[in-house]
Amino acid sequence: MGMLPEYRPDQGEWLCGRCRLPLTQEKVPVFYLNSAFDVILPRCPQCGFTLVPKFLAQGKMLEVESLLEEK
Amino acid sequence: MKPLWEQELFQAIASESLHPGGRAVTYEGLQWLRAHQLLPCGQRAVDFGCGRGATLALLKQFGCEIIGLDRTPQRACSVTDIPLICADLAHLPLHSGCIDLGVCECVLSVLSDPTAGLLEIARVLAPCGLCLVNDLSGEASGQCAKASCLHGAKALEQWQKLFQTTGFRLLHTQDHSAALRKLAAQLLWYGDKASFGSDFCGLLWQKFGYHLWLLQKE
Repeated sequence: MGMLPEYRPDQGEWLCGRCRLPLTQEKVPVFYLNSAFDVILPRCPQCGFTLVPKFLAQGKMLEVESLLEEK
Repeated sequence: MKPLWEQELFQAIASESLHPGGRAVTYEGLQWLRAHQLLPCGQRAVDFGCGRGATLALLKQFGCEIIGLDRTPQRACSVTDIPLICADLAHLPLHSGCIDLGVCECVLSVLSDPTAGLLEIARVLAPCGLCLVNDLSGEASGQCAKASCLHGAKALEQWQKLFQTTGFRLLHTQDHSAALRKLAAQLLWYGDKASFGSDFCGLLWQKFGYHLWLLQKE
């Protein structure tokens, strides 16, 4: 799909706490209840640890979860 | 703004079939017919609202002789060398009783007069002919645009009554509401309310179901 949503950190430059490397914007698959959603998120280039910005977790991600869970 | 199903973003998300669940839902319906010895090879089948032809390809795999029909010219139909008719469902340019199987996926809910559409399908079906219908169930909402499929949704009982009054017997019902929720979640994820305008009613989709019905002409 050629319209991947991209989210950056709420603010500031982030480093991976474990690897001490700056996070880079990468394509990440998000799985939830048998559905897969691709997104570009800040991710550690070494260990793959991914940062989910708060506004995404509390916004669109929550809405999608609610929809899939019939809440 | 174009209706939801004509928008590029929706088409990219919903893939070729342009309805919830895609080919898998149609396959399940056709498989039920086959399992009940109701779909022998060589059946004359028409996909009413064939779009890009995903269901036509599937019908071909099931051994049907296929015809595609759509009210807009289908230049991008993936199935070639088959008859493609540009016509409105309410006025079918087909002889009475000339087809064995009709397929009508997510079409009735966008018609201004679904009764007229079903009566036309019943007319062109042979005696005891079959029809595979899938569409949105639930109470239609005034919050959605009139051209939206959600606007044309009906309660399950209303659909069943409509089938009965247009000369069909209900053989089987499948609930594919999970596929609708999945599609709605993808629309929400990859698009936004601004992308789809009032056709995309966000979490309102939760109130709707999506069913497949297998009907037989009485």
